[in-house]
Amino acid sequence: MSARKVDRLALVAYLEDEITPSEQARIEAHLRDSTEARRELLQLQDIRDALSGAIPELESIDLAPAVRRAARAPYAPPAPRRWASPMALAGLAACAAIVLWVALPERAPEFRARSVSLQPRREQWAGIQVYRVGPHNDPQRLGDHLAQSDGLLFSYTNLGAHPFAYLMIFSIDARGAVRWYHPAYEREGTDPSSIPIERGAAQAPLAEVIHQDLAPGPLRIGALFSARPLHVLEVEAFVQERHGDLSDLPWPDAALETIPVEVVSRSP
Amino acid sequence: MSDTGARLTLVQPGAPAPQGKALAAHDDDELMLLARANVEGAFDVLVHRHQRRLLRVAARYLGRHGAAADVVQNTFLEIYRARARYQCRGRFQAYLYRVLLNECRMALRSVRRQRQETAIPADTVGLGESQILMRERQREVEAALGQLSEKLREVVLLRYSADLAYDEIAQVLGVPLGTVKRRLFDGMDKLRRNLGES
Repeated sequence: MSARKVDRLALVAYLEDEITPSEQARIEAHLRDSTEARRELLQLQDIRDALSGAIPELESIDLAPAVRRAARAPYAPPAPRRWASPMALAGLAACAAIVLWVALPERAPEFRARSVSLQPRREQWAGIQVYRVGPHNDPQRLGDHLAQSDGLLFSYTNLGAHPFAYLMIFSIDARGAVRWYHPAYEREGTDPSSIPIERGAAQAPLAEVIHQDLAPGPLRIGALFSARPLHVLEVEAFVQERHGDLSDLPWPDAALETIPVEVVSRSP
Repeated sequence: MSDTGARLTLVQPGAPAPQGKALAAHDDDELMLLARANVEGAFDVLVHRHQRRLLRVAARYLGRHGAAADVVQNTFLEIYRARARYQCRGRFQAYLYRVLLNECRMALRSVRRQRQETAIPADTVGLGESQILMRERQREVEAALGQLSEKLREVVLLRYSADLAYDEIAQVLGVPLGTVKRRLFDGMDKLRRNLGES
């Protein structure tokens, strides 16, 4: 170990107050003589402070209700999730005309989201941007078609005077199966919650490519923005109860964007 | 051990919170015993007591804030389900963070969800300048943290984001105290150099 290395590690030990009195005297003498050593100590303090600090978007999360709910939930595999009713496919076709967001320009960079219970002053501009990622890992804006083998990648926009705080992204395929992109829902007996999102963000990336087992045919991608965290099981219960008609959300401060796309077996 | 065991015998399954002492006044081991006896609200107190620091560790370990809540929820769920087997030795924090690190490692190694940090073309990413400035420093440090080996990253996070003492970190990781110090000192030095500040 070089003398230089010893000095660097000694500075961390000094920061941690993990040195003997004689080492302390030696290091403090070194700090008095060396501008570079003083700068390095400040950098270490800066790193320590950054790692000790709060992460604003996570501070308001309360996991206790979700843990209670998941602890009570019966064990069941998280996928595939299907609607129980034979009306599912009929509902899927009908809701394309019912859902508020379908009337909005599809895949515009952003759109105006206003759920029925929001006051006019609480306008919010929010939406997602969707990219399909093929075998060459080259993200392309999602068009009308998506290959079964494609992964999906998302970014979101969350602007306005009263932006949202949480987001869920899921899809409902031709079999009526609900697939989750954000949050991840991969383990039985769990009940993940919405992911926190940044207020005032424009096209903020969710930097994961996610592959799901999608059936060929029509697919709806849903982006559920909300003021409080929602949970996978309550959203799935709502989808199942309504047979895919998502036009009347039960969450007062939530808004849903749906993006229709066709899943094909070969790359479009 | 015998002291906390004696307390357990006073708690009836499904009983309301014990009178004369608020749940929040109980230590972690006592709360686990109360949760084992299905005392309402006991486990909630544990969640509220520890969730902030766990979320910070998970978010920085994974480099994805969005995944942190799920990982921490799974951590608490696993501990809740194992409450009948929990042994009161005054080491709840070590147990909690050991489970958390396992959950983080599993999340990182998940084969179904592939990390791709630069997948969205840069010209389509339009974060506001003020946001970038606000979070820039924190993200720089978190990005540099991702370049550390798992061993160094874990010690640094347990020390600063979880605020654990050296002996607690040694319990979590099952390594000697000297190893904890060496990894911390080395990790911090590498972090500083990774940030291009040497």
